[in-house]
Amino acid sequence: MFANIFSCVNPQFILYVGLGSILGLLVGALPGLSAVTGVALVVSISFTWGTNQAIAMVMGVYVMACFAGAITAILMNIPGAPAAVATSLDGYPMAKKGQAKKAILTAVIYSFIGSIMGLLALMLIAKPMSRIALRFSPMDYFLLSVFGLATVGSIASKDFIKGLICATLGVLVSCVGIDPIMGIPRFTFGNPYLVMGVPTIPALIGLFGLSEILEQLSVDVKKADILKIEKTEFSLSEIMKCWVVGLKGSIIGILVGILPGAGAPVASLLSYGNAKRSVKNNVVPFGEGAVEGIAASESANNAVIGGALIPMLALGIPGDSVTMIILSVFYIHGLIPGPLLFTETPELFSIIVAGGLIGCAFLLLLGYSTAPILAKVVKIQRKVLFPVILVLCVVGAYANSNSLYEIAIMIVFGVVGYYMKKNNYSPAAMVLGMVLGSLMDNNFRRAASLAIGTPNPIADMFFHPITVILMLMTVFSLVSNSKIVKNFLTNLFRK
Amino acid sequence: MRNRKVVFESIVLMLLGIATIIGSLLLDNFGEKVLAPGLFPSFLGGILVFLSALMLVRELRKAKIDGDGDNAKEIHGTVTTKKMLIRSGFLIFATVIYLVLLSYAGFIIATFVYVCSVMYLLGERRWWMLVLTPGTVAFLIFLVFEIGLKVYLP
Repeated sequence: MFANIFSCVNPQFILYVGLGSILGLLVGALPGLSAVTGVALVVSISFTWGTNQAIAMVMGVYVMACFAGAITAILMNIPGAPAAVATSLDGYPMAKKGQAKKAILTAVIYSFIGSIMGLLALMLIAKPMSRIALRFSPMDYFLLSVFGLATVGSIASKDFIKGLICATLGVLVSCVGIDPIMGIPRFTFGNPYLVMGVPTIPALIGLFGLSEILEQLSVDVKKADILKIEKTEFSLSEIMKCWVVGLKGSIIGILVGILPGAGAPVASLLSYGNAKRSVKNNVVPFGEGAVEGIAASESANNAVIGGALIPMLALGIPGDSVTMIILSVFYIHGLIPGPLLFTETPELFSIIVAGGLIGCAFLLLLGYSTAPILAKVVKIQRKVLFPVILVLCVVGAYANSNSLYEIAIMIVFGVVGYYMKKNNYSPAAMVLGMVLGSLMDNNFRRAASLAIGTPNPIADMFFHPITVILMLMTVFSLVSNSKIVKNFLTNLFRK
Repeated sequence: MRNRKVVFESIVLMLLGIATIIGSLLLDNFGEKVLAPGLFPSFLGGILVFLSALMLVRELRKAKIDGDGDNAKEIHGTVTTKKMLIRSGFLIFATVIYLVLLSYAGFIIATFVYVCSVMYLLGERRWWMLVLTPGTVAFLIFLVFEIGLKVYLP
C-alpha cells in the first residue's frame, strides 16, 4: 500500500499540495472563510487540470485550512469556523498571557498528529468502519447531538444551568427559517431574510469576535494598550506531554468524521469535553490557557479529515461539506467513489492519501515557520489592532454569502455575546446548539416518524445497542455535571 | 445573596420558553403530529421553561439562605463603568453606521472612515497613523478578498 502511495509522488505533485497549503492557510485564517471556500475555489480553477494535480491541491487546502482556523481563534478570539470554537477557549487566554507562540505551536503539532491519525485510519480501516457508520439510525444521530450538547457542562464550567440554557437557545435559533422536512417557515415573523435561517458563521463571528472587542473596551485603554508577548521559554516536550489527549482526540475525530453530517465542530467539542473530564493534573485549569484544551480540540478537528473521507471513498457518501465538494471534483474528472473504487481505481485512493500526507508535512513546515511571526500580532497596539479585527469581522460575516444582512446578524450576536460574557453565560454553548440544532431536529422527527409505523415504537426507537450506549453516555455526562452528584462523589472519596 | 438581574433573566427566559411553546403550537402542521414543524421547538420551549425555573429557584434559595435579598449587590460578571458602556455603545453605533455606509460609499471609503473613527475613539491622535492605517487596511483587505480570492465586497 505504501509503495502505491509513494509511486504517485513527484516534484510537481508536491508543488500543487504546497500551493494548496498556502491557499488553505489564507482561507482558514481569515474569519468567515473556511476549508469549504478554499476547496470550492480550487474546484472552480482546476476542472481542466489532471486528476492528480486537482486532488493534490484540494488535499493541501483541506488539511491546512482545518488547522488555520485555530490561528485567529488563538490570536483574536475569532474562530474561523465552528470547529475552532473549542480551540479559542484555551488558545485566546494563552495569547492574553503572552503565550501566543506556544499556543500556535501546540495547535500545529496536534493538528499534524490528528491529520496523520485520520489518514492512517483511512488507509487501514476504511471499509469496515464505513459499514459501522451505516448502522447509525436517525435516533442515534439525534442522541449523538444530545451527547454533544451535554458537553456544555465542560465548556460552561462556571454555571452548568446557564450553559444548558445557552445551548437550548442555540438550538432554538437553529429552528428559525424553513422547516427542512415540511417546508413551513418557523419563527420568521414575516421577515424574508429569516426564511433562510440564522447563518452560523456571522453569528459565530459576532458572539466571539465583536463581543470580545466590546469586552476589551471595558478595560482601561492605557493600562492594557498592548498584550504581552512571550518572555518565558518553553520546550517542545512541554507541548508533547499531552500526547495522550491528542491520541484520544484523534480517535474521537476519526469516529465522528465517519458519521456523515456530524463534522469537525462536534468532534472538537466532544474531545475538549473528554479531555476536561479525564485530565486531572494539568498545571493550568481548562478555560484559562491549558495546552491540553488546544491539543484535544485541534487533534480531533483535523482527524475528522481522514474520518470524513472514509464514507466518501468507501460508500460515496460525503462526511461533511468539504468532502461534498471533493466528491464533485471526482465527478468532474469522471471518477465514481464507492465500493468499487478500491478495485477499479486503487490509484485514486493512493493519490488522496499521498496528498493528505504531504499536506501534513506542509502543515508542520508552514505552521512551525509562521508561528513566531503570527504570534507578534498580539504585540500590535489595541488602537490599531481592534479596528482591523472589527473590519475582518464585518468582511468575514459578509463573505459568508455576500449579504449585508449577515453583517447585521453579526452585530446583533456581538451585542448578545457581550451581554452573555458579562453575565457568565456561555457563547460557546450557544454556538454548539446552533451547529447541532438542525441535526437534532431532522433526526428526531425522522426517528419518530419511522418508529410510529411499527408495532412497538418505543422499542424501535430506543432498544438498539448503539442507541443504548449513546443514551448512557448522555445521562452520564449530564449527571456527572450535576452539583449534587459532584458533592456526593467528593464526599465518598474523602471518606 | 440574591442577584436581581438573575431573577429578571430567569423570568425573561421563562416567558421566552412559553412564547416558543405557544408559537410552535400555532404553526400549521397539515394534520401531521410526528412530523409537525412545531414539535421540536415546543420541546425546546419546555426545556427552556424548566431550566429558567431551576435558575430562578436556585437564586431565590440563595436569598433565603443568606437572608438579605433586598441588599443584593452585583456578584455575577465584572463591574462596568458608565464611561466604558458609552465607549462600547459608540463602537456598536459606529459599526451600524459602517454597515449603512458600505452600501452607499463602497468598501474602501466606508472602511477608511470606520477604521479612522474607531482608532480615534481608542485614543489614536497621530494624524499620519489615522490616515495610513485605515488606507492600508482597506487596500489590503480589498486586495486579498476581491482580487485574490474573488470574494466580492460591497
